[in-house]
Amino acid sequence: MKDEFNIKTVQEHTIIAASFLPNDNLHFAKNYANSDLYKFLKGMAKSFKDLDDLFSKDWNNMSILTCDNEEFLSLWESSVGIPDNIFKQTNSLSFEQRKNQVLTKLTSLGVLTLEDMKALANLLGLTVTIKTGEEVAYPPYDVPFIPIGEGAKFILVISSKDFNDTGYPPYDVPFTPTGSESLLIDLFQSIKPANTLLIVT
Amino acid sequence: MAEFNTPDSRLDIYNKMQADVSIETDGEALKVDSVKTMLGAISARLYDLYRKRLNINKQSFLPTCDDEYLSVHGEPYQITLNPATPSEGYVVFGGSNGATISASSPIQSATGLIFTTQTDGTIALQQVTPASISRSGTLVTVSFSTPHNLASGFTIDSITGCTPDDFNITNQVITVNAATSIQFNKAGTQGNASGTIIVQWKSALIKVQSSTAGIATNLNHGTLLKLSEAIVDVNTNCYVDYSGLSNGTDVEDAVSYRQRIKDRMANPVAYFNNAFIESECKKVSGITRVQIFNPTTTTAQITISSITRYDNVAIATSNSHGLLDNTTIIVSGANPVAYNLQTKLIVLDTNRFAYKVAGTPANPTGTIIASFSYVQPGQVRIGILRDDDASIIPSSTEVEKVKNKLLEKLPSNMDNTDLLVFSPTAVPQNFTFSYLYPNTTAMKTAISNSLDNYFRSKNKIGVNDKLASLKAVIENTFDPTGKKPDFTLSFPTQDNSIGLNQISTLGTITYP
Repeated sequence: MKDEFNIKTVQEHTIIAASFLPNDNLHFAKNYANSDLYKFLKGMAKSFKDLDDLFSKDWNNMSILTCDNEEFLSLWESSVGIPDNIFKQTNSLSFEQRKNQVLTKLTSLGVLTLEDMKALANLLGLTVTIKTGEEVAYPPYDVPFIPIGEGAKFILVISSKDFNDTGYPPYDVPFTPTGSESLLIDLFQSIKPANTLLIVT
Repeated sequence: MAEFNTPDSRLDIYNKMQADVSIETDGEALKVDSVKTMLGAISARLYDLYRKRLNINKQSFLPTCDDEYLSVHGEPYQITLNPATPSEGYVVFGGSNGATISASSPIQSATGLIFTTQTDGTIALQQVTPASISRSGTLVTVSFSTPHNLASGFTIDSITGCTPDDFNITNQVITVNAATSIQFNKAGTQGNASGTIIVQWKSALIKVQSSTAGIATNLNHGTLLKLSEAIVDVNTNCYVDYSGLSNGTDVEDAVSYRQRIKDRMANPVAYFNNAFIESECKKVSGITRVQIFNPTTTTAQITISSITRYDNVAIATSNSHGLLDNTTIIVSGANPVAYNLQTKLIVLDTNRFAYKVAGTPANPTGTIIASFSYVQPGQVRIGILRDDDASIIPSSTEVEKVKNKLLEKLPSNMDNTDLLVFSPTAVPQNFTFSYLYPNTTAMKTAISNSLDNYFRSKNKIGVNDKLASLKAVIENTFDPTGKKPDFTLSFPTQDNSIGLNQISTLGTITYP
């Protein structure tokens, strides 16, 4: 990170202000801490620091990764539409959990491949297996219509040992997800291609 | 402190700076007036920088940015302000048989709107046998088996061959009441006419487009237009055809533009997911709502009342089947079993569809069922609406525009035919009030506006409107004096019934 974004002390601001004064006899005392001129500059430097600190913090808050300010986090949430029908909670979550929600939503922008979807699941602490309808060796028993044939490649079958269900193979469908599983499935439903059927086992 | 820890005023900064300098210099520095003056100037500039920082932070986020900065947030997503668009449609010209109207011929409305013809056209003699002619009171209705391509206000040459002969006319101005029907007033015998009837007129139907853009360029059917420059053997007066001139839209307003960007940022856009499709559809000016139907495991069934085979094509009849082209169906229950297939179909009309069969089996009997998933894996169905237009139902041209927009981005593994863009069929919802208090013009206007707003925002394709919801719209209406209505509805009395490809629209409101 460039020096200009580092937080500076009042003394550093005082010295910087002094450096802009001429090195002549009139301003000779500018670098002496006991001089009236230095003290005067130091008094003003506190106000310079107030503003400079805010600029530096703004730089950090412009990235969700380094955001540490409630006002900016609220703007981040509002920008990505949180709360919504997937990320419903904000009040009961910690600051870091709220940041992670924004990050998850940003990560979900532009998901293209099955690996992208798996990475998204990892962000929520889940490891998932994703297969297309064509790859499923035995019929997914909850597919009532055209599971085999031309439509099969447009079916995604999502499973995970992290999911809180007990059956295997998936005889206990419909699977009822909870917590982060529910959130992940809602997220997958929203990012999957519109012509694709998602089945969770 | 205001937003982003911004001091409320220059004075706040000055006071703090003065206090800091006083502490550091034991008050000595402030004994010099010029020092205080200088602190005032510096604090003023600091305040300016605070304000600039506040502005930068506000403009950096969509929820707080000013309208003029919206493009900064939209353009990275290729979301730009939708421009105004011209209206287009067809105009009926009359004149002598064989007279030609060139492309780019200007015509204008009474309000000064200019339109130009998009193609050449030739006035041709039409001699058509109508399906029926009947009279009720003085109103004569002439029905045709195919669209007549006429317009209200147009003058037909004659109707001949009618018995009784009081149905025959010459040079009659008509009103178009349907794409296949015209009307005019002439007293005479009640009931139907018979005979070898010929309806004759000379016309050319030519596509036109407005020279300027905007919603004001949309015109209702039957609107009188005039040729700006005379054309030999072509009547000066011409008329907007039954479909009207549509597609004209105003430049998008900031509220709509901000919402589209917000939708794009708030809804995770992956390749060809719902959010992506909605965003692309709304890039077509005038499209305000998009309803997307994804593949489902829901299986629907319809009963086929009959199947008639022509060569290797089976024509199935099922009233109001609601199917779309390329829907895959499973036909069962037919005898011979050669008709029992899993196949894609082609829609012929609202009551008939066709699919291929092998060989030449006899027409089938039995209780024949077609099963289908409303949207099958691999397909997506997209309903579009134009809530800012007089009719929220997009025309076929508008549907085509949206489909072409989406085809530009169609995934390579998706077939064009699996992209099903449609405009829903309107199902007008009428209202009859048996009691209303206060029964004032202001209250009636307020209720009409509330209902109009409902049918331009809350209704959904394929979803019934709850009677309770409709009543709630009325109940929550306020007239300009702040009064809510006390009312009784004699119609509707129950939830309406909206089919798969239908949407409710506001019909007629009858007040007591």
